[in-house]
Amino acid sequence: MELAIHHLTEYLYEPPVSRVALRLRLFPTVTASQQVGAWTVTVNGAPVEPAFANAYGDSEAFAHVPGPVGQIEIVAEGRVTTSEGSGIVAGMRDLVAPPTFLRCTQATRPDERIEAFAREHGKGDSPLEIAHALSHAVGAAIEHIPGSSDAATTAAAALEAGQGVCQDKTHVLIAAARSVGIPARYVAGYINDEASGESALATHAWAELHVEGIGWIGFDPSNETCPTSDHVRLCSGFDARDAAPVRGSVAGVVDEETLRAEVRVTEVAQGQSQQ
Amino acid sequence: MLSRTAENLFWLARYTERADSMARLIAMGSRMAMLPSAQPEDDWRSVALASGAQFEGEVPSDVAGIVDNLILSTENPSSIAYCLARARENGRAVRTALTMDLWEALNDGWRYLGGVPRARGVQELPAILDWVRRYTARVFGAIETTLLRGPGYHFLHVGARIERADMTLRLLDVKYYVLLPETEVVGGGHDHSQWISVLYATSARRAFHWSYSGDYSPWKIADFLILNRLFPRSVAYCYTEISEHLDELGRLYGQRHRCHSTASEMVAILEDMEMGEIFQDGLHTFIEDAIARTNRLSGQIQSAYHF
Amino acid sequence: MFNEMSRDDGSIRAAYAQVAKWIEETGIERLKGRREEAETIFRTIGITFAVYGEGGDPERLIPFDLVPRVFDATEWTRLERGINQRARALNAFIHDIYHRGEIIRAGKVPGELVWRNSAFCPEMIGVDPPGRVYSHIVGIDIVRTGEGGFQVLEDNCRTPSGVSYMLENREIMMRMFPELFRGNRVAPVDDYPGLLRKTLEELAPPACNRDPVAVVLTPGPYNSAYYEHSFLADQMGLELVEPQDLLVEDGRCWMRTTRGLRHVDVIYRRIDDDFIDPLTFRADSMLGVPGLMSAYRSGGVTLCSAPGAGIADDKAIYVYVPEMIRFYLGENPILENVPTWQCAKADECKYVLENLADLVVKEVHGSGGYGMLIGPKATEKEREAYAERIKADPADFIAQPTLDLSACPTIAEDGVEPRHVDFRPFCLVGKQMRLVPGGLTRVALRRGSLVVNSSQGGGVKDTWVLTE
Repeated sequence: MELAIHHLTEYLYEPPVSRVALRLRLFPTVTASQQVGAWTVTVNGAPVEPAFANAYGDSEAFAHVPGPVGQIEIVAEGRVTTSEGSGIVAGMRDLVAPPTFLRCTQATRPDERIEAFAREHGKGDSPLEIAHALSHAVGAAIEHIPGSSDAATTAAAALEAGQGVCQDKTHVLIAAARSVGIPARYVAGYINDEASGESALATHAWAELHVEGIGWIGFDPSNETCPTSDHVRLCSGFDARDAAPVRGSVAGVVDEETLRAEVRVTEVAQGQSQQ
Repeated sequence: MLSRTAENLFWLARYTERADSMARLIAMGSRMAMLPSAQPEDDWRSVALASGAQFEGEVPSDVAGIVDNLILSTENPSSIAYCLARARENGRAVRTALTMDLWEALNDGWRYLGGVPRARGVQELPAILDWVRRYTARVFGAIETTLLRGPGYHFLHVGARIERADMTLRLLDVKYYVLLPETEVVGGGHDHSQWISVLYATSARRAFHWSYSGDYSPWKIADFLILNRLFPRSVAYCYTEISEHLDELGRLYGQRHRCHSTASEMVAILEDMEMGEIFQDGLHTFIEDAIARTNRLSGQIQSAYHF
Repeated sequence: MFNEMSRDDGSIRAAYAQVAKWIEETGIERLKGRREEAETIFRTIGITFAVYGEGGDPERLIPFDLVPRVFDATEWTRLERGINQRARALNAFIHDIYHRGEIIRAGKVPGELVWRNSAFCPEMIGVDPPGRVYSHIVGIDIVRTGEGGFQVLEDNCRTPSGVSYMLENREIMMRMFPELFRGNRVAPVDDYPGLLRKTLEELAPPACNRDPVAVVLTPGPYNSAYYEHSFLADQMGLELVEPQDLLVEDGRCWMRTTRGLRHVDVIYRRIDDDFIDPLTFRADSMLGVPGLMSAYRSGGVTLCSAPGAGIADDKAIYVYVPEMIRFYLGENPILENVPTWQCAKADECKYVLENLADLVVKEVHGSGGYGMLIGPKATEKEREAYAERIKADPADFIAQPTLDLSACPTIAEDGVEPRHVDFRPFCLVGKQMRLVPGGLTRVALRRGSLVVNSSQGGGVKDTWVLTE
């Protein structure tokens, strides 16, 4: 499936700041089931090229905007061709030993509730079955209510509240998987608007769990499925903060920072496809 | 040189100079309050206003309030204890740019004021002010006698002179507006003694005598403090020094900036000006303009050297 | 207890002959007077370490003891070989675990212990720093328990501090007691700053095609080791920069100067990994340089030490250093480890819990002597409470026997008495290994105390290495 993606992130600073530095991981991963066509990333109109691929296999760029700067507009756009891969992540240059992803972070530290949840639902004859079971259980345990959580909500808090968004579900799944010894990582990416039924205001998130004998497999607890050709993978990390496609740092005093994001993902009809 | 080093030196000198000026200003208040014509509350309030300090709540109008706010406070940016701590802090951040003598001058006894209780501060005010002047004199002395005449030396001087010019201007302005009660006529008795107090605040009474043979007219005093090119606290003298040290920086770095022309313009203006013109257009207008220029200059220096 | 100066029969070891004579001739009262003199000099120069937020004087002096600690040439030759060997093995280990992880594949070090360790930095996987050097200054804490019994207590691979005391202590001793040096053949240590600068500069990024510019990066004047940072920068003739002086552009690092931006090729950073780049590590870091990791990854700047170097000095990894020496260098360890029980292993944990009264237990990630239990000195209650902590998280603890540290004559209230000491040499790792003959001797000033940390009543001494 060929997807056209337009992803805008805008920051407004009041008063203007003296400098903004950005770390961008806005370059879709190339995998066996994901090919990247024309793809551009710009910051305030200036193109940004990736500087290197990190150990997770993601391309990274660094950009800076000298001040005074009151507005930053980051646009990532282009086309990605995806195919069904049953969620299996193959063909990635990934150097991190999977057990590394058993580490906890503040957002994904399991509390007793998560540990009990993982023990109760993480049942199956194989690690793969356990992973599936956990993903389904998380989808069922957390109701999708936009605005019910924020960027700092931890997995423990989300499970206790029983509500959240894709970030929270992913955190809970990661925390639960790690607590039963399955390495798990956070993935940021896009999802076809048709599949989610709406135009997203932010990037999508899901988890990848490492299953012995198979490798990394994606699980999208928000849609209770493995990533399909509707999913476009950008980058990964230990949790949402670590895997943020855009991280910024501002020099100067900021009274007010506002953020606006907009993501449009549409399927390109066969005829429209570029030659 | 790191921009931050230049900035730290610039502020080291400004804070040291500010502490010194503040000590002189408070000494003036102390003297005014002793005069037969004294209205102590007004006099101390004048000192508080002349300091340019911000106060939480009411402006202090007695000696205890002044000691609290302008000498011992560790929070008020105009207080002497605060200024000395900041001067040392700026010095500590650039230890490698200081000579041992200069560092020792800054480091030696800088916490003295921290151990002075308010009651003693009031009682031993003159001795404390003397201590402050000795401390600052030692710092400036160490700069003169031991520091390499590199960029750092010039940044120190520019900072110190900008602060001093600013203080002299502020003092004159306050004299004009605050020190002079509305009911007094210019040249009246209280007015007269207050102008003399301004000379005290700038430690200029004897120097003034030598230059103007004791004619205490406001006119002459203002002329002395603004235009006299021999008196080291006059605006003209400060600007001449600022301009010279900026020129040295320009030569060392092979580049001149906007701050250079701002400073030399001001030097030229002060050279050509007569006191008559200043009083004609209004002393206050002149002072306001000069303070704005000094602020602008400070900003231009900071941007020229990437502070 | 091994006495560094005198043997059990009261005879004086040859290396200490002059020192013993000097102590006797000077007498305790004069020694105490001269100690105060030294203190005044330290205070005036400002050789302090800063402790903020604890009340009292925020800038404290580390007590300085005038009696030097002495190594003879034979002892030093062995130490030198052992230290170099260890520093090489530690760097080889760091390189390996951020690449193929051969030592893990070979089953010599458990992978989990590395991968799940918070000191292991995944961002460094696959990164090749210039010269394959990760830890450029290796500080190795060495204790002595007998005539030839040197043992390594701890490695410090990040930014070991204390070298300024090595240099200043020597300066002061030479200034105050010139006669003492005339009679001895004390090897000089004063070329350390020059060697450190050489080490930093020779590891500039390969892309740097002019004279490399190295800087010292400090968190600022409020850091406890700020004096050392400024001292080293000054001695090396390098700029002492704070994070806000640096910025990243075009894959390079730059510093803001009064002439505009200037390249920086090598950063000797005295800021922890977590804080060096808010875009990669802790986002709330006010100390970092945004984008520094990106410039580092792109080969635009060298960081000394490399991020993630701390994995090698983790106490859980320490146990495996002798194995590293055999594995990477094919040599037998010259310096031994202190026997260590890993509470992560059930049988060893059981032993530790049963023998708490005889052991020293340490937190795996702790430092500075905090959070440890000295079994023989603790009360029954303290031991019970500590045992609960061990049971809750066994993997967080290791235990060692209570070492009978050697003691060195030290000026006390009533005379010169033996006090326990340890020793930290500073090994420089560049394109070659460099070790100045000396280091920092720390001394526990309280009678009988085994804790030498300056934060807990420790002091320092000058350390002499006698030449042949």
